[in-house]
Amino acid sequence: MNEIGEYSLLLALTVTLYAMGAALLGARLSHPRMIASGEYALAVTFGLHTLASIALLYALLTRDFSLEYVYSYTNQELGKFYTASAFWAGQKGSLLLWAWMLGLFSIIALWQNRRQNRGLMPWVVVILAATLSLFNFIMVFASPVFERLPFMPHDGHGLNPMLQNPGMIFHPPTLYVGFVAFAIPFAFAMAALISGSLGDIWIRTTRRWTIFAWLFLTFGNLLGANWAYVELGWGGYWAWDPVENASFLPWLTGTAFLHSVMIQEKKDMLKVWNVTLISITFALTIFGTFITRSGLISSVHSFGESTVGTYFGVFLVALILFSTALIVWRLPLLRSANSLDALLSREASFMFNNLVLVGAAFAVLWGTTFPMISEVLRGQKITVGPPFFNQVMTPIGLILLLLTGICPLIAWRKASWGNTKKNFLAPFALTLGGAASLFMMGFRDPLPLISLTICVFVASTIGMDLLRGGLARSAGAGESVPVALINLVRRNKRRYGGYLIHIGVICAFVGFTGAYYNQETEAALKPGEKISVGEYTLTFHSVKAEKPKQTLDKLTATLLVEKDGEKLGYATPERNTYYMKDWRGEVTPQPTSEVAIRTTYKEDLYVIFASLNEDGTVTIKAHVNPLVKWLWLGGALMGVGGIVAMWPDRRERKRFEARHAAAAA
Amino acid sequence: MNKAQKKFAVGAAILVAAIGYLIFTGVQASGTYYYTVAEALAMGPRSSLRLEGKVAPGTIQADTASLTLKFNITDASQASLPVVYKGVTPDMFQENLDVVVEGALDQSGQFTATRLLTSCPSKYEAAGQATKAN
Repeated sequence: MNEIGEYSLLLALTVTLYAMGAALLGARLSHPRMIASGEYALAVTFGLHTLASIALLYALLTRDFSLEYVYSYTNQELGKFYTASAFWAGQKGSLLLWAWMLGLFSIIALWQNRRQNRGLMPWVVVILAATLSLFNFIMVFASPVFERLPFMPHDGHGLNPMLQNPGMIFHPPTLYVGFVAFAIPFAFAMAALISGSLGDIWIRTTRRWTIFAWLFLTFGNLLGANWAYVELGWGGYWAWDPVENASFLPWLTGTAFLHSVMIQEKKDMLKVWNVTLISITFALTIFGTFITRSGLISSVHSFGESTVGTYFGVFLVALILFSTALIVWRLPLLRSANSLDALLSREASFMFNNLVLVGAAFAVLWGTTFPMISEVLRGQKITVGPPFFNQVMTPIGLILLLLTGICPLIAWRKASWGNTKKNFLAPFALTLGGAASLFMMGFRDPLPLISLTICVFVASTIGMDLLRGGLARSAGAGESVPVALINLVRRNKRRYGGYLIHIGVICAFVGFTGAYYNQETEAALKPGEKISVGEYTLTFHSVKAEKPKQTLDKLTATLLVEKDGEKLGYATPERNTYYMKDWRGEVTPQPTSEVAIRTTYKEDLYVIFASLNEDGTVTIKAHVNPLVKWLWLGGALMGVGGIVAMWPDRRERKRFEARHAAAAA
Repeated sequence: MNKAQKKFAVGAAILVAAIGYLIFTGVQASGTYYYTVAEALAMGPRSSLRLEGKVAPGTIQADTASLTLKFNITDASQASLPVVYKGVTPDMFQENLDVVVEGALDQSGQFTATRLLTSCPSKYEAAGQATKAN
């Protein structure tokens, strides 16, 4: 099987190179059969990657430890589920998964466009095949997936216990889907530039891909945050580590792109901006892999430095040069017929939203790469940590949130002051009321008060707009208000899906705001001793030691949780030590904490069992993290909203086809 | 440029300047010098410093009652510095581990850490392990 996998990858490299060449020649010579041959070659690549993936999965499940990859990430004891998931536990398998997904998305995109956009498709094939070649090249030469050890170990090293968590299993592939899916709109944008058909066809064709990519990127980041929160046991969910930033950057520019394409669709403006933005977004997905693999930026995630980083670096430079050259070459064709009519318009407000998002991306990029920048500029390596990001991103985030409320209420082209005032009057009144109630509820510090007030404002703009639409439809169509609301959403899934995502964003900001009130305390406790955090009192009872497996020592502390004298139950944080064995039989202990979390919409009580000490005391660290649950709720709402926005919409399709026909004629 | 575009350009310029200002002041306020142990020793006392190095074997002293951790941090050049850290010891903390400490280096050559980061047991350990196996 290993040979099959190895040769599949070698063949895949040849076939993608052929696909690139065939599509390129076919397009130049207008030779439909050659173009078709290129498309088929891309499908063959996908078949070969599938074969290689099956081979790797087979090696994992049959525990073939002669394979370096299987040896490094699994052992005899590991259950079937985690053994299979070890597929993407390391770099080599991740690359294969990435390539497999890119192939899958490519053939889906080809199939969707089998009868349309025939002028674009050969170029789409060229771009996708070029990207696939990078992965194939690395998998064949730099980081061979099916590398064998010079001996046959009888057991593997095992999967890091911290990765044995469902959150960690789904987090990486979810992020990869997001990264990879942005390749499709990027390929279409490049194809549009090369072929010169620079209307909004490429944008409309890939709209669902963009939402899909964005949605998975959002989920990927949130799953990672959730995993860090429940598994890493430091009390937080986001630390502005370079690796986290690497996946946040394309999210920021992708969000900007998601909004700015609407302006091109409606007004035929921002053409240069849109092709630039999708190029930047795609480049950032590659950049993330590059900085984490090249060792240029040090991160608390210990990535093996390898030549893989160099390949991604070279590809990144080529990518930037190529897309810049194309855009500059096509500048004359990208000139827009329309221009901004008024500052008070949806267009202008979207453009501000874009500027802030791209500015945020720039700030994060600057902070992440600052050790490199400062070394070049001042000859000194200076790093900026979480305080920098919090200080910079808090105001930027609040402005973005405010724009979320403002943008959808301003009319296209040129909004009249009178109308705008009318749209904002009710939300404004609600916001004043909301701010007063928040103040009464005890939110007195400026920052959380401002943040939550903006949340109220955005929620009321969305609420009022829905209500107004529902009432108008109810009066016009003679439906009851709830039915009218449902029909309203059904008739414009894209708009109301977007609103739902915005509500999710509000919830997420409520969650972020809670961090302002975080409290923590730590102490070494004897049985019967108490610690207090927030309104909670924890009384330490006892520690229980167990050995459920040969390779695992489990310590469980039991603490009574009380709030205002009322018993709430017991918190049982664990401290586990896994013994990881290497092929020589050398054992390394690997301690991990299983935190105990009591979660409500008001706050989380988060208890960590830090250590069992020699004098018999236990060190307990307790956090009260208010409103964290709202972040996870927000994530779920964004997911639902994204699905609504992506759902097939007959009306939209008709409009699209009518435009297609008009464009063809 | 029409009037609306001019107004937008002014607004955009303000926005860009504001973000630039935020970044600039942010770096001023929280920039930390990143050094190796040898560089820090050569530099002398300094506040707001970030060191990377390894935990020197046999130097770990943990006082659990006061949650104080003492160890020496060392690097490839064999330079070594005593570190004091107050707080919960991270899970992964052990001898020979790569760590990052943030804090201040005082006159007596002792480093008082306010933050102690251990390298995360990330999934991407392949390179290191491959060398070990060979």
